[in-house]
Amino acid sequence: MKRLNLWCVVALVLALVVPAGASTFIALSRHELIAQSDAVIQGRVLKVNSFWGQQGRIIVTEALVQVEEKIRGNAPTVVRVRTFGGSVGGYTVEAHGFPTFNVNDHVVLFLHNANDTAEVTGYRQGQWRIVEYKGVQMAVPTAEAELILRDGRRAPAEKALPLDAFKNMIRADVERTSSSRLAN
Amino acid sequence: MMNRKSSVPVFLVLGALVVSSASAYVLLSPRRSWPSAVAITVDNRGNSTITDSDGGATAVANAINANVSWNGAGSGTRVNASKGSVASYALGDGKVMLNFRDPIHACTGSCLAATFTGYYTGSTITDADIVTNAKNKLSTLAEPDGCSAEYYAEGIMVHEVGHVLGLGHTTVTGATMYPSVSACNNGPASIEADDKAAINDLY
Repeated sequence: MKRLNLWCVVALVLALVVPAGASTFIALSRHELIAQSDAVIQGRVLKVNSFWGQQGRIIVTEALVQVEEKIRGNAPTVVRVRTFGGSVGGYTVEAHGFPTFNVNDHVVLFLHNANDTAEVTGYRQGQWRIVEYKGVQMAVPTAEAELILRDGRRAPAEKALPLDAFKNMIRADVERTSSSRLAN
Repeated sequence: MMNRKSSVPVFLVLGALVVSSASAYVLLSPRRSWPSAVAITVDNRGNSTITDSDGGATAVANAINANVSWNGAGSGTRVNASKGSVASYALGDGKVMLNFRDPIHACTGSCLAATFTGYYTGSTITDADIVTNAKNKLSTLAEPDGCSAEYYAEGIMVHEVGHVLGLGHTTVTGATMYPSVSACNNGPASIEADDKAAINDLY
């Protein structure tokens, strides 16, 4: 019953933060997500700013994220992360399936270009929200359950995980990759 | 006690129930729609990986306008697609453009195609645009060499136009708005009952 309540909470949180609808993305494996990222960080969103970018063609949003922990790779103390979509002057551009940020969001982010203006690797696949449930921090995926694999099949849905276990999985993947390179 | 394996389907079901309405189809949230039929300009440069006569531009426009697509849902003409220049591509200009490239560098890496919708407060969509990751191999039914490990542009774009019209992803397998596409499968170019129900709910 306790586990059912936990999943209910997680499902409700996920439903609140994930708007329906998305563009079409191909699923990256966990290994690909890590390998294609300069850094994986745990952090908290300090500030969010939206503006017209790309020569006024679309609204972009930049979030300043205070890095609490560098899980993998290097990143500055505060990372600037850019995504598409946002609201300016009463007009909203929704970038379906792209990461979104709110001030005070507690997140784990897979990033490329982390030392400049970073972007989230794999779109929402690379953005996880940290939710506290009865003293346990959980890493909750923001990607829609429905992604496609390169062969067109539906990708397995990501599951919410205890944050520590999630970070250990990332570190273990990095270690496996490093060991494999040394062995070769 | 619920074991871990059986808790995941519950999680997905609960998430789907909260996000969607009572039906399988999902509308964009907040709910919004177009006040009239949408004119879509399909990039007349075509896609470089498509080997039909114009890089798929005609095939995609025809697929969007076809009666087996959104105009045949039973709520009247919803889209009018035609080939044209997308040089002035921008959100906020009220011109809906389907670009076979990505001038704003938004759809890269794992992105196949991306749709953006624009709106002021309220329930009206005022603009939308689609960009495509040109690194993925696409095909059309008109290609002389057929399809080989490629995605049909017709099916992908009919799906993306569904987002333009205000639809999200459905849980119904085989529907156009189901978020899965197989290589050399143009099924999504023809809408199914669930897709029709969604459009008729909105319009």
